[in-house]
Amino acid sequence: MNRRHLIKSLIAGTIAGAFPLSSNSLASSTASNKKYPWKNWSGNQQCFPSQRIAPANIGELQTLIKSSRSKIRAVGAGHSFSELVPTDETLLSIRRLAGLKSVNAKNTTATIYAGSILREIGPLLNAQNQALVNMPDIDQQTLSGCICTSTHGTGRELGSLSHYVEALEIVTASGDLLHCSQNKNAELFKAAQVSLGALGIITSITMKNTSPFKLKRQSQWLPFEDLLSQADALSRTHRNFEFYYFPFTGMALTDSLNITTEPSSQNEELDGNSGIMDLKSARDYLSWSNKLRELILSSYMKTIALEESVDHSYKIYATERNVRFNEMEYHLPAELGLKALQEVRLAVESKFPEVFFPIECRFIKSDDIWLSPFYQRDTISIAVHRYFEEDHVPLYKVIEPILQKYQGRPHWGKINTFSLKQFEQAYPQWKAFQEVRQHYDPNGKFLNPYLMRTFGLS
Amino acid sequence: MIKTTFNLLLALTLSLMLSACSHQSDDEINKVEPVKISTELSAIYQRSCKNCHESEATGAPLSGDKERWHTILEKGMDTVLDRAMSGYQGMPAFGQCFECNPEQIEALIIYMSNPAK
Repeated sequence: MNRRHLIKSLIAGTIAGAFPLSSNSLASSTASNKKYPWKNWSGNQQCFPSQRIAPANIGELQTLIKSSRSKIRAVGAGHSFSELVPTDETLLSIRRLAGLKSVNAKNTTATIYAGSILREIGPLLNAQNQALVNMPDIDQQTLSGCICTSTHGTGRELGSLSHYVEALEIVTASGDLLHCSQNKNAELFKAAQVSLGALGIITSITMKNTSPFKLKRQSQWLPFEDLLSQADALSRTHRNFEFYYFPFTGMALTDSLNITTEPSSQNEELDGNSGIMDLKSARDYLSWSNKLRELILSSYMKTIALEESVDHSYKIYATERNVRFNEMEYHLPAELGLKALQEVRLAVESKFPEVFFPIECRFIKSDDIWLSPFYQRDTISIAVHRYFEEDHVPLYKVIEPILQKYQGRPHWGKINTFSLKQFEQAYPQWKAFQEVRQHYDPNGKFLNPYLMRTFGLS
Repeated sequence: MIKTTFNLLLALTLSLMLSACSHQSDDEINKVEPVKISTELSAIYQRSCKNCHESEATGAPLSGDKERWHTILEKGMDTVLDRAMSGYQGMPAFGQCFECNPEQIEALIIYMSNPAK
């Protein structure tokens, strides 16, 4: 069958002749093993893997791992900005392992295949009368990717997604499928709740859920100084509370979510994407006078009324992000977070007039997971974004030492320069994790150059 | 969130550009028969394409936006396919579909340009 016939066979019942099909050149380049890149969402990470694989089922995955002589890195949805994924060996997608595996109505738990995208999980759980307890503000990641990097939403009394993992299954370097939980393979479980993909390939995850619920979102603009004095109280009042500080405006946007039984509604179509590009335009036109920039932007922001919307929890947490950016996020002790933020603001506004992305502050409850950045401390996270086409390095070189000075631990999936020594000091259970990793993957099958460096392995 | 006159200027500029670039009438675009795909390809579409190509906010060309796909396909299938396989702007290489071959990616491009309901 030639190429044209093959494509026609894939698109049935159409006049394929009406479409300009490709020549044979691309097919031949693929056949001759031309390497195509893998890139993350923002484009700051890329690699040319020698092999891409996407096993269709767990048996196939076990066989692949057992027989592979090359190193294997798993990739979720490509939403990490750190060097967790890149490899020039085998890149493995778990995306075909998706959907609900089983549901336990009595315990309100559900076992979900690891390659499921968060956006897909909400409706699936809702149909089973369950909902995730909390979600991040982006829902394009795979569940496994979230668990491996301790991805989080916001909420002073709410943990990261890893916090709600009750059990999981993982294929280790030997090709064995292991079940682990608090009661079975407990050490592996503690390590696998946040594992960076370094222990094996997670195939399914049992999540402790809750009954479906609706959330009411309220967004309000406040002068930054007012926000600072209220932030702690607001984080205690609302189920989910976060805020964004907009550099060179003196203004912050609060975002609060609370459980409600009100009917679904939205009083205005929020469009954060066009808002960000408007801020870029303001930067482009007004960065010659930061005072004028602040006067114009803050005057406008003060006129924006309280915005409200109500919807199912899984529909309301996340917003679409089509303006790409790079991101550094550190997790700081809750009592130090706001002080650090003021210092970050000062640094940005005194040295980087080109910055226009808001700085995001979230609240996360402590946990006891070995490699969780929230290990044994309630946290305020500070995230600093930079437009993807602009060099983030000079900004992050100035901001990162401030976040580290306040005992910050970096988000595993975001840009940072933490060294082995710093990780060892910041994570009391670092050694315990390394021992488990060494036991299950003695030859480092699941490590890439970044993890080798981070773990101090040559 | 923030609505300024920049939006209006942008919209005006874009509408002028679009009207200047329209070579093909709606009738001509609508003549092309809607494309159906196999169950296997449909599963790949659900897994790897739908999240971006059915969400306006992502900026990706939407499935069924015939005018936009027409403009894209005018660049030639080789160019479009190479971009899809190498990654282009926000589009990840192969749409993060690790099991896909070039023929499937090409068929999905054709499908998205005019999908059967």
